[in-house]
Amino acid sequence: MAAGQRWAYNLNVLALVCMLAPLVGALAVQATGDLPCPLCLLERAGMFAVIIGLVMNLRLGLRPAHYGFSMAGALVGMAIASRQVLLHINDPPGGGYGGEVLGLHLYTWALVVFVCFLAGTAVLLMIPGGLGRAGEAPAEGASWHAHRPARVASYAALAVCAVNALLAFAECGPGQCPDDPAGYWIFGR
Amino acid sequence: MLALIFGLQALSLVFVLREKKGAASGCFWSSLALTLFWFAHHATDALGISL
Repeated sequence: MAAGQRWAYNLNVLALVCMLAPLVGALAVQATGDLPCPLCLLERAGMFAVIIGLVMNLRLGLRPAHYGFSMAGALVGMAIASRQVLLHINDPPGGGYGGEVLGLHLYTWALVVFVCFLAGTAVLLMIPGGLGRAGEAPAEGASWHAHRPARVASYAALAVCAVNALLAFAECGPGQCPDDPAGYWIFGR
Repeated sequence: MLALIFGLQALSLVFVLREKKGAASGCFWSSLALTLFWFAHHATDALGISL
């Protein structure tokens, strides 16, 4: 049972890092001047919704409800990414919104990430003894205080989320974001 | 509006890290509802329907 919890806890940390990587990559792309569209920002919101459920698992214990939070976020993100893929599916080669990474647009990568997360969660939920119980102490090696990578990844997620909030405000302001943003709202576009 | 969604999510993460699950859940579902509303807003705009 304890081994199952350790496996599940470590895989939750891995999922958190895998979900953070595209968000950090997207920030790096944004830093080159390629501004995200409203749907791209909503896909990021879907990824953060997934991350909140994962951090709940790491901080508050491995519970089915926390996986539910993440899966709800992944489903919303998947719907948004699917819409954006379908919006551009008839574009000529080299078309679509923004740049490409390994031949795929960032919104296509977002769809891949959400689908992979849902598949991974199905596996995580099948790990024998992989769930904790309310009122029970977590297994050794599967607790917040004993797991430095979990703490580092969780605080990094919070920092990336706060940076996204600031950048979204700088880009869009309090109102609606333009479909094809040319500059930051805060700098008068 | 999009900044508000990320702000609520950051707040939710802060509450999770401080072990305040109820407040974290509230912020999580509010941000997800706003995300869905904004998505619907964008989708209906493209159809020529104004929400």
